[in-house]
Amino acid sequence: MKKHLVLILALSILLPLGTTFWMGGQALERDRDNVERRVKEALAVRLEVFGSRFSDVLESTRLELSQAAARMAMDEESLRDLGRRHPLIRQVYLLRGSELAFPKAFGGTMTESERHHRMKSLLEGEPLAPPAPERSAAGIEGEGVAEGWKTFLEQGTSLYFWKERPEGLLVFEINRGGLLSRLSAGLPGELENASDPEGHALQLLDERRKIFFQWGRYERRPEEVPLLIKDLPAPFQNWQWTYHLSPELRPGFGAEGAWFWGLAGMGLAAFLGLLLWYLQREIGRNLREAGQRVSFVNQVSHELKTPLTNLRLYADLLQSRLPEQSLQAREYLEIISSEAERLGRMIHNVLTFSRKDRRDRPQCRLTDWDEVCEAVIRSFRPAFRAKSLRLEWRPGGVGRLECDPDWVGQILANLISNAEKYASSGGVVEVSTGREAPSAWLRVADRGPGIPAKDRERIFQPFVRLSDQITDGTGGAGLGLFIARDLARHHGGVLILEDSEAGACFRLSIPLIGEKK
Amino acid sequence: MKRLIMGLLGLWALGAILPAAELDLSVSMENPLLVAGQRHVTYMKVGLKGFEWTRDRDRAPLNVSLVLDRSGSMEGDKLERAKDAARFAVDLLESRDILSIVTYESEVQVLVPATKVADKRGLYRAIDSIQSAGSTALFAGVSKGAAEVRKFLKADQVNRVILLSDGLANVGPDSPGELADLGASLRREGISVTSIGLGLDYNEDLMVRLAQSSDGNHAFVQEPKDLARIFHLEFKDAFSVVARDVDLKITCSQGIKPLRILGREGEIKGQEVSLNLNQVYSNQEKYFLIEVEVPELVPNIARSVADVAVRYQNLQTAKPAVLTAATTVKGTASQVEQEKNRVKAVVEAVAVQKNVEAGEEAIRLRDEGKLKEAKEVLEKSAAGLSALAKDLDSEALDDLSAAATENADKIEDEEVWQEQRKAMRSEQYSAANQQSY
Repeated sequence: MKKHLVLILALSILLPLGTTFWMGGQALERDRDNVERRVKEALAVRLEVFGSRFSDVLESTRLELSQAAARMAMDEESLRDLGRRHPLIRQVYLLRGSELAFPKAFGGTMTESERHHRMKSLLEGEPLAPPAPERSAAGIEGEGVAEGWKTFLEQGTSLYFWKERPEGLLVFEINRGGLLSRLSAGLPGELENASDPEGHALQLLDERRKIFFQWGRYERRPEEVPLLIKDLPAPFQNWQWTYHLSPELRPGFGAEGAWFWGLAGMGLAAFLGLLLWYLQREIGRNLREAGQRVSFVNQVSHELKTPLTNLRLYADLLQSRLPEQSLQAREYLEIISSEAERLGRMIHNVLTFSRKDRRDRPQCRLTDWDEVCEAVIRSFRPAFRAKSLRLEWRPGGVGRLECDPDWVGQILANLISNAEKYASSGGVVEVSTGREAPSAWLRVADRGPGIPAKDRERIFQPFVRLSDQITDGTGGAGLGLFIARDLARHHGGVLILEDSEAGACFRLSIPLIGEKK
Repeated sequence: MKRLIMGLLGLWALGAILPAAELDLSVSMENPLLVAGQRHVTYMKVGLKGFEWTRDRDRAPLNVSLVLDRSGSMEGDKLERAKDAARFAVDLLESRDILSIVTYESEVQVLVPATKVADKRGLYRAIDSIQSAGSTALFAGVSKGAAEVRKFLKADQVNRVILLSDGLANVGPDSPGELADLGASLRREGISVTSIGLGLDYNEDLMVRLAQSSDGNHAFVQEPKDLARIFHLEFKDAFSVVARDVDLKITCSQGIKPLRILGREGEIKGQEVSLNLNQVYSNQEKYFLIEVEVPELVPNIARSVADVAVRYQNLQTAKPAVLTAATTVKGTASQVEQEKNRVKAVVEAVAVQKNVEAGEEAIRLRDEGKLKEAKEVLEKSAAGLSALAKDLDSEALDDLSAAATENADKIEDEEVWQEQRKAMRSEQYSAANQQSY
């Protein structure tokens, strides 16, 4: 019993605790997701701004190169001059068909065939969309002519700008460092509203995933995934923006949050644990005390049985010895016997209740129902006579059936005893028997105050007595009905309180087995 | 008072009437006399020397950007000295100069955007506020500095970025090649980058390439306390610029074959050698050495070697100017004559540049782990210089020989290599560039 109790207590604490934590965690998780989403949205807006700065510089450079290419005089002198003077152009090439028209000879670190191959692939360059009408208003020559970027990723990155001219394909090999410098300088130096540069880093990564430019000082751990990734436009399509946020700054569960919740949880668990232990100790103590009391009572009751038996024995002996004439003495002896019996019944009830005296199954034998009842009634008559109460007996001619006479007797005795104690105001108690297939029944009805509706079930509980006023001076442990019903159940029958206009009426039904008429 | 004014006016008028100063262009052959009847490989020196400002204490205005490394490694003494040097620079500048200050760590900040140096107190305050943090975004720093200079780019002023760094660039492009690209691009815009390396942790190849490709200066500053002095020298240099956008075209005569250029970058196309300098300094000579192949000569017959044309922007007159010169060689029958007539200055210059090449080779070998070979190269160069010094009675070459010997002695020492490599690179660049400090 104790173990089950502890288990139930523990569960009843841990379950709500666990549920609370889980729900709290869910709510926090949702919160964090929300805030994270908002951070990402704000970031995306910022990235738009930065990305547009990058694109602006790129676009203005493209325009500059486009104009230079458009205005180019196509003689050797001019071509060489541009290649020498322009800060962003390393070398100028002119291709006619698949032939290199300028410069006449290849130089540099590439072999001739490599250069040739490169020039060829430049002929398949991706042109930009045709320029917008506004630009034609600016009066750029060669409007509507194809032009574009081309990137090569072997042996480091090379970048070319090409433009179609009537004379052929004009190609600029770009001084990439110079262009990157312009792009770098065009990016803003600091993030506005940068609250904690240590906690975040917005990075622009090149095609080798090296950091080209950075805002914020946060150094990401190797396996950390960026909060945001965005690609760049051509010719930097292999570059990307990434954003990293330090876990400490992330909303919701961070190291701090986890610490707090962990400690809170542990504190709560510790407190509940203490509570649990305390409760268990109290309950244990109470149970022990109750147990001690019960065992004391049992012990005492057991002790009482012996002197009681002697009492009855000698009362009987004396009764049998008395001469017929000693009516008074006989009467007195009957009362002594009857009281002794009553005492015996009380002790029997107590011991039955504590299971010391009772068997778990009825010991059935073929018994005359009415005779059993009559015996019990007889034993009460003296007491009833003393109290000027009438005990009416209406046998229903039930006959013999399989039952446990001791149990039936005890049930009937408890019922009559109750009636005697609580319903004496009615003046009469009727006991009747009968048979109604498939059971035999006995009924004890009184004309006393009756049982209030609210107590009709309660009276069958142990130690329950209705108002003490009624039982003043009468005693009784409140066990009678409990035991009676218990016995009835174990016998396979039922004990119920029937509806009645006045007083109380109890009925015991036992199923008929092996009846013999 | 009136007399003073009249006197000054007179001086000014005098200055206006006097002919405007010009760069001094000189072209000379190592051997003006060459033994006839055989082919020779010899050297031609084209030198440009800046003139003195004719008016006292005058100079071209500066448009300069100070780019300062404030990464975490600069914390403490280094940053304090750097701030001292920056304040010192502000002190040197005047209201006709334009200054911007860019600081960089992981991020880049334009501490002071390009502005005339009027409110010096404000500039001091800005410098005071610099603190160290983060990594080293060197490329971004230089780029932002260049952008600030670009805002007020003008032909008649000196446009320069002065970069100070103590560590390895780790955010942004960080290879010598990429930085050289950037330097070359800036050079074409007329912007030079002077790189100052502080301490022992910076990448000297990167810093030197950046200076070299942009025609700026380079300095290796080991102790932070020397920073102010270096800044002083740098600014003195910048104040003494007399000409900008200097383009040289050397047209070699028929039969003369230009082989290579020593110590500098340039372009050889057929008979033409194209060279360029971003600036020429007052009273300093910058020179180019061209290795040429001369065909068989006839005794006593002069033969034209090359015509030299120089175009530049004169900062005193604020006008473009042109100079020309030419040089010849003559055949001689006598070897002795050839030797007797060799030009000491050119021989020295050639020796200096060849020593630079030896030093570069030594570093390359040392980097590959070939310590013995590196030492040998240096020793060989030292020996050659020593012999030549005796021959020419040249103190300069003697000093150079001693320096080469010292380097040879130290080159196998693992512990000092980091320092020595920086020092060697710095010396090599200084010699190749004829840097004044």
